[in-house]
Amino acid sequence: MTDSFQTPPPIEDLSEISWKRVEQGLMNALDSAPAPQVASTSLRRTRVVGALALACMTVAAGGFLVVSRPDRNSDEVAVSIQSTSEISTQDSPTSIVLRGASLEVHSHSDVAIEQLGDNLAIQIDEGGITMHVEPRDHEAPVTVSAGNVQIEVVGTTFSVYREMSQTHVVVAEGIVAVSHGDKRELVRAGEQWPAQTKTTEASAIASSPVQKVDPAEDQELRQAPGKPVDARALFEQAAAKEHSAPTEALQLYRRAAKTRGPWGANALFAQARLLLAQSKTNKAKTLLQRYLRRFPSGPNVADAQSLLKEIE
Amino acid sequence: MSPQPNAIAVQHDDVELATRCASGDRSAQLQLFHDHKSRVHAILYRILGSNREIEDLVQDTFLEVFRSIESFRGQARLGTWVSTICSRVAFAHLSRKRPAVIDVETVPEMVTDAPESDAIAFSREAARRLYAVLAKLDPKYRIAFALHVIDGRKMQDVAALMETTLVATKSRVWRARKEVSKHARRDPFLASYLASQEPS
Repeated sequence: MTDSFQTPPPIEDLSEISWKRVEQGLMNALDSAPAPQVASTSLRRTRVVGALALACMTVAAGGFLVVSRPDRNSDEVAVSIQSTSEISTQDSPTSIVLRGASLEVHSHSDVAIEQLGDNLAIQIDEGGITMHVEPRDHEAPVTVSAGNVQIEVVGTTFSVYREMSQTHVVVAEGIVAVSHGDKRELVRAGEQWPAQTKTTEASAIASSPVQKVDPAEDQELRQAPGKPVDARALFEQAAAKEHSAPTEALQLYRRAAKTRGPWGANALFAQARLLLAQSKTNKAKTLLQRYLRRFPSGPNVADAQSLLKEIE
Repeated sequence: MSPQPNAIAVQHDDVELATRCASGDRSAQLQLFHDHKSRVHAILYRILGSNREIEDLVQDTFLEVFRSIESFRGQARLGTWVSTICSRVAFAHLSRKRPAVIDVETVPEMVTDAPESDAIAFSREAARRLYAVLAKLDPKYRIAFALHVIDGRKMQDVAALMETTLVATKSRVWRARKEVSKHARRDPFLASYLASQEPS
């Protein structure tokens, strides 16, 4: 083997937006801590805050995100222009048009979408998506992650469905690469991953047309993708209001619980705990079960299991 | 031999900038960040093989730089000192137990027939396979290999960045080479890529 490479792989620079985000996150961290510690969790939280603060810069860079409501009218409604968007659906799916891709977020799903320049990354926290990606010959592949499974694609139509730790991928057109741990498999049109698993629900999702959306869908959810949310601030406000204004506290917890990360987990559990204290057992049970699905390694897993046992 | 006047002036500038950063001067911190961000990114990219996770690590590096900046006395160039911290951050990151991730991905069947497209696909796939092998190595071997063999840095420079001896660095590179070669014997694609890197 040669001493050093003659033509090493090119170094792909970060996009301007990524650099801005790093700079903003760094400055936020320096502002918030006189002697900052290199602790990954706090840094990542800072980075998210930085990303939200830079939402307007993404507008200048040409990023866009459009949410369509096919049952309301045929026009696509622009709801957000930012680098990172969180989407939560309840009883109805939501259709989204991105640059070079279209996406249907299934009902009862939590999905994060990050679009920075040509890079498009989708993370499924819960539920599923059906996605069509135009061929991306000269752009970075689209990546979809669901738990510890990662799907990369340069042009195809496929579905991903996540239920707790299980992830299913169904490919309708083209081909995708699925990575799980250190294993990687190509999944082609008509195939599904994992191949030996019955994926009735995922297959049905892949073959079904876009579902109609309930016109009475919750207004807050309609606006959610465009709203930067500081989950920690919401959580702290909610905690302060638990005794004096429990209804308001529940609303705040509910908003915070829609986010990913540790404060989203804390808020979801707190929301369930508060509902239980108000004897709203069924709703609390639903949320506790949801907590266990979304955050199987969360800090309140044992508490949630214990409360569920008490309820049952 | 005494240092050249220009070198002394630059080093003085480094110390002055570091002193301002240590006092919490935000404009100085921004200047240091902008002066050295490309250097930090290049080192991290070479070690990791992609931009995934790199934003956090760039941020980690500069936070560590600012946390330690009081200890900078101009004993080396500021860029070298920042690079050393960057290497340390990369090592700490790789040493943390984490699930393996395939970093660079292509699906060759979907790429167009244009010759440049083939070259890009070949290069990406080769890089993916190479870094998949490196991901299985001890972080010390991986970093030494990435900086010397892939990036072409001199062995003594790599030793300085990794804060170790030249002998230890040579040993790390040798062990990494051995592992990469072992995998290449079972992977003709990787073997072909490594062969293409030989001097013509």
